[in-house]
Amino acid sequence: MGAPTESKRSMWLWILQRVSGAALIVLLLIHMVVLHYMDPHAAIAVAEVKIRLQGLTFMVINNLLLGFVIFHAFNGVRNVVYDYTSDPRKRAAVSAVLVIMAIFLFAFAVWAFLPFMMG
Amino acid sequence: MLKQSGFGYYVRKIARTWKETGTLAHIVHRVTGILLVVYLGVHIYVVTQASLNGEGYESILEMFRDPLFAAGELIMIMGGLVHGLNGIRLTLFDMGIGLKHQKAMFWAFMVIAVAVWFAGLAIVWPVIGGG
Amino acid sequence: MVKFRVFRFSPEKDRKPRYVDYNIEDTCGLTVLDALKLIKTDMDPSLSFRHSCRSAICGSCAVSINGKNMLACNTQVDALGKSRVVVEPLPGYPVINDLVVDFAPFFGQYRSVQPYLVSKTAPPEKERIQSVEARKKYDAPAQCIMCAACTTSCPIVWTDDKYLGPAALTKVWRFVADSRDDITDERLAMVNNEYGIWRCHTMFRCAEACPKEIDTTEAIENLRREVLKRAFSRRR
Repeated sequence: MGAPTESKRSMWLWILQRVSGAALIVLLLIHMVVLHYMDPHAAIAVAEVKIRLQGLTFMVINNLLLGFVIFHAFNGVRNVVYDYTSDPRKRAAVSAVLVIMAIFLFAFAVWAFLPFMMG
Repeated sequence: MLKQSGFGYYVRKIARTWKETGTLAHIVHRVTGILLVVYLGVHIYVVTQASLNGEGYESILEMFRDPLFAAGELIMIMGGLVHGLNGIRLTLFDMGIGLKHQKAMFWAFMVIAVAVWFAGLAIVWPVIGGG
Repeated sequence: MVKFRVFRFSPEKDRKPRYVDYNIEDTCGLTVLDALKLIKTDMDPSLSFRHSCRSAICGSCAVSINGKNMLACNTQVDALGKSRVVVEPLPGYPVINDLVVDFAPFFGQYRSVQPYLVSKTAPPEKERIQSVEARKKYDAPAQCIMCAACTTSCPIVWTDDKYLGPAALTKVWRFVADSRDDITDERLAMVNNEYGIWRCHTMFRCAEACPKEIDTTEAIENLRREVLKRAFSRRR
């Protein structure tokens, strides 16, 4: 029997997995169309990436995409691990590692593109 | 008593019953999901090079012109389509829609995935195929 | 002629399970349970399996037949349309002997969800009256005979021994949907955790395995929506 906080967490992670999944369908479609299909001949040059990221719309879309995709991916891994072990301690340890990895990856990607976003 | 549980048992048993549509959908969802997580890591590394290391990024782009890498990218696009469309299917079930038609829905969504994949391929073909 | 390939395991003799073939010449009108009884009386008295009512009511004879969980008494051999029928114990739970598995985990999960009506009103003189409409809401889940065909078909149950599993979750839905039951919040709290409804991945194996055609997958989805409905309506 789960404590109320655990109930809330498991429920919200489940909801957010669906919400982020739905958001990813839209965001990835934009991502693919803009980057690869609008002008397939154009290589994705550094300068282009830089100009695109300076636009506010794209900055927001890209960072949303980054956040949602990292959440969806790491929570997905968490789901896989939870299916294969019932030990609460192992589960908690894996969760902690995944949270740290997810935050690091998000921070790293934002930091890496910061010079572009700032112009 | 003879134990019938654990990860090894799971793999052996699933290997015998994967043809059940619902099980197949789950396995496909799980395998594509794991592949996409790996791809995400590689992808974030590659694109951040554009900012961190301009020359390195250009050489990576050069590498991606290799047909082998293009094929890899196309497989990942298929993986993404399959995972996304089956994700819609699962979310519909959560909303109480289509539970009685889960098998037909899986195959219908897979047909859509293949169709969208070919449409995308047609657009980029002049670049990757035509040389 | 049908060849029955039967899973055998005796903890005193065997370290690993073995499969023994038994041929039955004429299977016309035989159920798989009839075949097992024929094997036991005519060919090998050491074969162990559970059964009782022979009419799909007691839920004792669920086994895996050609890889699918079914009631042996409810399955006609000829309807399988195969010349080889593989009979194995239910998956997931430990094998005690041959086709007999240990149901302790199953009943453990079952007991943990308070599988009985809890009413906070004083007992009436005769019965607690319910409209036909209200009864219809749980007609299907009330058919459960606790054979464990659903729960043992679920791969999550094989790897996560604390997962409640479809049978216990469907039992919770049966009482949540019952207008006479007064502890819906407590029941939903029992399943709203990492070992309950959120662990289900809607593979439909449980619903397909159920010999009573209870849509157990739908029952789990109903529970999820009930939890979400209450979580969001309380906020306002």
